[in-house]
Amino acid sequence: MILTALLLAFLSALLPFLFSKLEKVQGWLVALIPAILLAAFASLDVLNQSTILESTSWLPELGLNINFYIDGLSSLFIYLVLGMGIFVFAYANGYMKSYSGKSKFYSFLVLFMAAMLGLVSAGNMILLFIFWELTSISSFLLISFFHDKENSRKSALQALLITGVGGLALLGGFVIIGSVVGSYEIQDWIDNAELIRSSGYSTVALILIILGAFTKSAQFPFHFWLPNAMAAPTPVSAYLHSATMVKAGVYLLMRLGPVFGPTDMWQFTLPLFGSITFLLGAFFATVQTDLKRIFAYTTVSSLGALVMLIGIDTDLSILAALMFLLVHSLYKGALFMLAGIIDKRVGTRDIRLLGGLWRKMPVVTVITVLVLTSMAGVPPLIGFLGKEMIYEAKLQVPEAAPYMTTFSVLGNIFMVFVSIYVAYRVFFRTQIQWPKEPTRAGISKVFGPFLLATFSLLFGILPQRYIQPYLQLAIDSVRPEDIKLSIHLWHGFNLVLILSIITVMAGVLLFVFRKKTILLFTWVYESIFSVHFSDKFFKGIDNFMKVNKKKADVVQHGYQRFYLATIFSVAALFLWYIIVQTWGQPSVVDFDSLSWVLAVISAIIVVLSFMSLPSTLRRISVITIIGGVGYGISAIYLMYGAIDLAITQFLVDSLTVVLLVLVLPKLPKLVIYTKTKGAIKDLLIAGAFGSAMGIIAFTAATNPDVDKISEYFKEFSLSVAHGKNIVNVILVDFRGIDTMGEITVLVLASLGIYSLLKIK
Amino acid sequence: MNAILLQLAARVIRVVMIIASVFVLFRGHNQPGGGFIGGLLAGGGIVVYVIAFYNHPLLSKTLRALAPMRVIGLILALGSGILGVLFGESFLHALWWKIELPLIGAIDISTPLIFDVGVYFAVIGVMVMVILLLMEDRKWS
Repeated sequence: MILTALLLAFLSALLPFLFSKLEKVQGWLVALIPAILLAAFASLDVLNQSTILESTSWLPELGLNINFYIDGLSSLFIYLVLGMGIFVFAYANGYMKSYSGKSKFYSFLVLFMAAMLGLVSAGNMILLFIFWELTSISSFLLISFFHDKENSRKSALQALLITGVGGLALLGGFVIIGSVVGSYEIQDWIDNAELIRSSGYSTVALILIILGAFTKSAQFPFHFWLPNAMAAPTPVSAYLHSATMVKAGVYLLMRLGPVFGPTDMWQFTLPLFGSITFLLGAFFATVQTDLKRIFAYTTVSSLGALVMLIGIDTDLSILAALMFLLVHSLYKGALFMLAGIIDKRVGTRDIRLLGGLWRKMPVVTVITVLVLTSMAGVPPLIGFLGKEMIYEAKLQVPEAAPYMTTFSVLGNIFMVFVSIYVAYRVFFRTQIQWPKEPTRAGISKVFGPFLLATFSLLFGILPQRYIQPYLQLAIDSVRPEDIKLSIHLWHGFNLVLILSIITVMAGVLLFVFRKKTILLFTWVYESIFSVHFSDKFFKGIDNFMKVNKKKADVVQHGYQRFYLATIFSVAALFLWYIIVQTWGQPSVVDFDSLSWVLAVISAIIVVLSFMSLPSTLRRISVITIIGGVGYGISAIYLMYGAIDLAITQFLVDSLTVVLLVLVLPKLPKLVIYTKTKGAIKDLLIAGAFGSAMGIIAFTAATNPDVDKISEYFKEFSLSVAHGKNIVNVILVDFRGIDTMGEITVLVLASLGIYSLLKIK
Repeated sequence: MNAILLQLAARVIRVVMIIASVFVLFRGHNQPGGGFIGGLLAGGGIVVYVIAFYNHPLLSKTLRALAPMRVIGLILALGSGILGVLFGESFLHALWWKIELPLIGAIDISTPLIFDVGVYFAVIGVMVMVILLLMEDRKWS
């Protein structure tokens, strides 16, 4: 059921092309996809069933299965991904109106959604990894949507490189844990958490996994790709920041919390980097002037807060993280949509040029102020609840409560300041001249952010009614203890509330002295943070390429004959190592069954042909002789009854000769051995490799102690696989996956030939 | 220059080799043959034809139309594997069906057979692509 839903989700990435004729409502039609999927997942009824497992075997021998594992945590994310999906697609309908390539855009966006959906419902870590990489690839396509702009391409590449490196690290971590546990199932990892933590490799694996999660969730020092990713069309930013992509890292950390949570490494690294990211992100947001960039840095900050909370690993902190995740998705999605509307209506997103918009667009003003109130954490919006819970969790951190709380309050003061400042600059400041006379936004565009803002308000006022059951379920699935949730807007008058009041007061105070504040912040920003991470990144890549180009010439010289010499000599070295290690195996040679006179004659033909090669001066003769060798070998196959092999060898050799003759005029002149030194070197390599292969083949064929796999094939070829031709049965059935790989390589090779001949 | 004799022969050779290749493909499970050999045979027929008609104006276009066979082949092979999953077994698990056809009688259809057809298509597609690319590079057409 889950598999079918997911397959349909991926297939529906093709639907936008079908809708391309209905341009006016394309986005709304595509919005039906997440709506239908949401209905399907809602029908799973997670509220009454704690965990839904579904398993389909893929390659059970390798522990790779398409297993789904949906518990409270997954379903919270599923609802976020699909719910925000509906809003984003509906919003894109208006936003993308004037752009070309809409079908492609929607298609990528559906792919992005499907990948994220797969990620949060996967029960097998390798499956999770595949979806993880799919989100990286689809976000690359989306960020580079305006691919005629250099900035878009650069940002997309940056995002792909950073999350790609993180993905590789993640895979490494998964494989280590997988080999410790002997399984890639999440369930098995959680059940064997003790075993994983006590194994010697757990620290290495954890570092790799954290690296993966940090790059994805834009933690310091990898945070810079996220603000650059706003080069994407605004609906993508709204989706990427609120429910997908960056939340993948958060999801993974929450998922693995029960496994690694109690380790020192986890409780040290996550809060440390989380709090740095939290503070820096909030601070950077204060000095930006581009509306989307401001919001992007507040996302960085919020992700830092989430990672920090997960790292603290107490019941309260995880609960606060879940709550804040929901809070952040609701307000951040709406904020980006509103920024897009303002950008479209006024023609700029620069807060230095905006102002006084409340007269021109009152509805947008009300909604934005509401959403910003939630971001600032002011009651009665849900953002207040999120912040209260964070303070509560911080105050109860063992050992580090004072530091943690100070960090939190400081970061939140920045957030409050940013919220007020943005509202003031955009809407209430007097401004006479706009780049474009603002026009009123259509109801269809404002409707999405309006609903999201309403949710923020409604959930804030009645949390126990709307969100408590889902949070309860989510917390139950990641914390083994029995926790009874009771979320209310009014917590009573306590230390937490005092902290909240201090935060808001300080934020307002900063705003009152805004001119001096901004001056001071900009000064601090420019004097301390003069390091531009993004520029440094590209410079680093450039230098890396330069150094590599120099160094790589030693190994990547471009001479086919030296490549072959390298490959053969290295292979010969390893083969001879094995031969020497296992020398003295018993061997039984049974020549009786062979018609070996004919075989010897064929062998003599082969050897003689080879001997004549070095003295041949023309390429065409060399090609013909090699063809002859092939025929000789296929004759030997024929004599031993390997008809399939004989036919294949014969056909391949004939075609090779024909194709080689076609490219003959293109090839450089044949190198004639003038130096004996070169000839001796080649002879040594050829001799070492050839004799190694010969010895191994001989040993394999004559060793009586080894159970031969051919016996297995002989026994089961007809009885199980219904085929009398063992060779064919091996190719298409027993070893089908190998053949699959081979034809894939074949097709890829034809693409390689294409690029060699066509792109010059 | 037109090699008339070669062209006449190539027409026949092409037809014979392609028919033979299909025959070899379908008997492959029980007798020598199979998708790979079949694909090479058909590819060989096409190569002979291309060499004989290298300066025919429509040749390049015809070959280009055959290029998607590679992808069709891959999809068939992959699809036959996924069928196994859809029927509740693992990837590439072999499934067999007996189908009664009028006139011909009962025949066996199986996922390995579909897989083999996929291999056949992929091999032909790649060979056609390679010969086409070489041809265009040498400015024959």
